[in-house]
Amino acid sequence: MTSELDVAAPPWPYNPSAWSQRIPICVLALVAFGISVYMALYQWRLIDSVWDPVFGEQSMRVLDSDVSHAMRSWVGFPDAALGALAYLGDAVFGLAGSTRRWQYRPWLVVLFGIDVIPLGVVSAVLVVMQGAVVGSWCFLCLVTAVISLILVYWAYDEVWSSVRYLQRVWRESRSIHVLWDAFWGRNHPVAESVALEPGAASA
Amino acid sequence: MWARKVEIGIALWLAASPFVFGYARDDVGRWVNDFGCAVLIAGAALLSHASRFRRAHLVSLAVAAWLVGLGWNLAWSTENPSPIAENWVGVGLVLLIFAIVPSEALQPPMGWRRTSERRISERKTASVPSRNSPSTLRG
Repeated sequence: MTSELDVAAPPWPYNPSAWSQRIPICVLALVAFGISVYMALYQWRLIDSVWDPVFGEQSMRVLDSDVSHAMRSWVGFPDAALGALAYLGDAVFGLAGSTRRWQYRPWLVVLFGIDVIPLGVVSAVLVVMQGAVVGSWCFLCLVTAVISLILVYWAYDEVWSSVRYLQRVWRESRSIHVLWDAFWGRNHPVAESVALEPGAASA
Repeated sequence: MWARKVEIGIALWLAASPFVFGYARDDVGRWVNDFGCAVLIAGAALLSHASRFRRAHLVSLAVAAWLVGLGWNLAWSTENPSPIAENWVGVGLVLLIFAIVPSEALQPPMGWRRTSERRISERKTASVPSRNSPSTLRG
């Protein structure tokens, strides 16, 4: 069964769903989760200050800014805690699924991709914009922004494998029903035949 | 099943929330809400251990949506951030993340598992020489 699961996923010569690929993503996401929770603790006033070796008190100005307060009243939750939840999602969705989930659970890989890629890019852009809007910088926010971009780089290959697999299912079947089943991880002869299709790497 | 264990932890936190956040004794609605949601989450997580009801944890998605909605409703009706509202929103969002994870998350889905087992047994059958195969006869 293990050999059945650990297969290279087209178009890559390796398996992007292998644990060796996913564990670093989960560990890094958990580091960012920890940093975000630390900043959220300050926003909840459960700690008095935030450690910042570069910008000093500017961090607290960012976390107490009008933009941050406005976000808290709109979302009903501090923005740092919201970031923490996004990183927790990265780690949890990174851990779920077998080492062939790019084929067996594309919905999970797509969900993981949505959590990591667009949300990661948006959060990184927002953090960098803080400097321009608030006029202060926050070292730990910048660290999490860098982590977000690393996660995007590490995660995109698996998402791309799933998307390409669904694309092959669609090309072969031209059936929404088969595509829907493949997306939700239901087995189908067409899905089975195109998953490791020879020449898929050049397709 | 690790996600189900976390859900039980979330249910315990929700059941402890009235004490942590100091709900008023006559605030029956909030007490009932938190205990009721905790029972639903833990019940669904436990039921998911039975293979017949392995998708029971999806009930927690509805509970999560309810908690987030309730939290937003309370947050938007008050001037200052309310810890109770933020607890509901936070618990709801964390629950949403874990409730999506399938029960046998580390295994392939049932259908693909059967396909894979069939392929393995076909390969084994093909690799065992039959009694009448030329090599057996020669030996």
